[in-house]
Amino acid sequence: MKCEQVQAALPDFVLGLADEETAQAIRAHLRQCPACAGEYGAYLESVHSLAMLAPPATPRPEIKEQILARLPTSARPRGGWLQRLALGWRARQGWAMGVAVLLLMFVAAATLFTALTGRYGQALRLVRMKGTEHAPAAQGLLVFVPHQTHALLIVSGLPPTPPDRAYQLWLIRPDGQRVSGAVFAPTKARTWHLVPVTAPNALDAFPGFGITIEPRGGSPRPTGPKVMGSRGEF
Amino acid sequence: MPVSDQALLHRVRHGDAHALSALYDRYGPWVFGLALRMVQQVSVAEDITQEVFLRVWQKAAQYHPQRGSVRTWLLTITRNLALDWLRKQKRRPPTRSLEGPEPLLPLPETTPSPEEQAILRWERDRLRQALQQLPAEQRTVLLLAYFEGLSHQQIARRLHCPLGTVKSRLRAAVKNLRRNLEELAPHPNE
Repeated sequence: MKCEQVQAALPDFVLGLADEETAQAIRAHLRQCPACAGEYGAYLESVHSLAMLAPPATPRPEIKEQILARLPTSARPRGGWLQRLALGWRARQGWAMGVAVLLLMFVAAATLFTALTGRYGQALRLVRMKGTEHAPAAQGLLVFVPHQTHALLIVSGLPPTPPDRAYQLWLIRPDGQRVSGAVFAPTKARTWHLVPVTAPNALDAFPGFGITIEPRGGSPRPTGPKVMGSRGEF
Repeated sequence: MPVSDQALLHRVRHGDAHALSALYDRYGPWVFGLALRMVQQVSVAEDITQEVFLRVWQKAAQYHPQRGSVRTWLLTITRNLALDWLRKQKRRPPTRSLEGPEPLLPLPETTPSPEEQAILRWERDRLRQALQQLPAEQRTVLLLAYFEGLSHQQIARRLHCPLGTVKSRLRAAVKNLRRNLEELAPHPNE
């Protein structure tokens, strides 16, 4: 696109009203044309001055805490060695510390699981879960015995939910249908949580797992943002 | 002397959570206020506010000063997230008058310092003057597009107006708003 065409289209573009093809062409042009980029900046400033018509409002203090809790572990205030060990798997010190924490959690999970199910000596399946852009610091492990309908979810890095929201674990069938496995609502910014999971049939029939934010009490199907997803078996 | 927005963002780029916290203190109420005005649900506005600052954390390196102030960047992200939510809901918020000087929702405002209050008052007065100088039909389409995220077609249907007329009014509104703001006297501190 030529500068003249870009500048004529900028009013629609800053309002988000340009069609996708035009918008892509404008973005490409702005990356290499300082003059048009300057015009774009000027239009953005004037259009977003309209936000002044919406007066500032103070969110609940918990919102700021939740934002800071979702930052990567290494960015948060640092404590003693025990606190750093408990803060997550990928400590700044390197993979050695992360693996040590992981092994500790695996042993704890295996012990708890065999205690709960009474099944000794059976191979455990571990499915790793990772945070999405909505919860980049979140990490988890889903632990279960093949052919069983009960599992244990160990999750860390998820901030407390607002009073009217909860996290919901979804078990994803091969055809893509989601089935609820658990609903949980951490109320404190603890390091990690243990969540019992119940499936309608054997857990190894579900190739994928995900966690979304839903209304308190859960939803019949996912409606909110996805905060964690499975990343294959550990 | 307070740290500038760009200096704070530079520190955020290098992983300084305290700098993000300071940016939140400075602009969180504006972000939340805009989100709330657009989506009209407190919990959704809170989610959007969180997402805005997490994106600032993740994408601080993508900010270009040439493309506007840090505040404008934050409000751009806010508006885009609110628009995404509105489009997913596939419903429009109730039509309200957007021209009055009073808040649309009775929410507590922040308590800025006297200097900040003076600057805010000046900026709002400047904006109101610039808007009042627009023809009424341009002002209407502009506010519908900005706050309710309506497309050209949706505005045309709402106002029972030809599509071509809406497009040309909207382009003119944006250009004239920019010109009016630039022509009004700059703040003494600028």
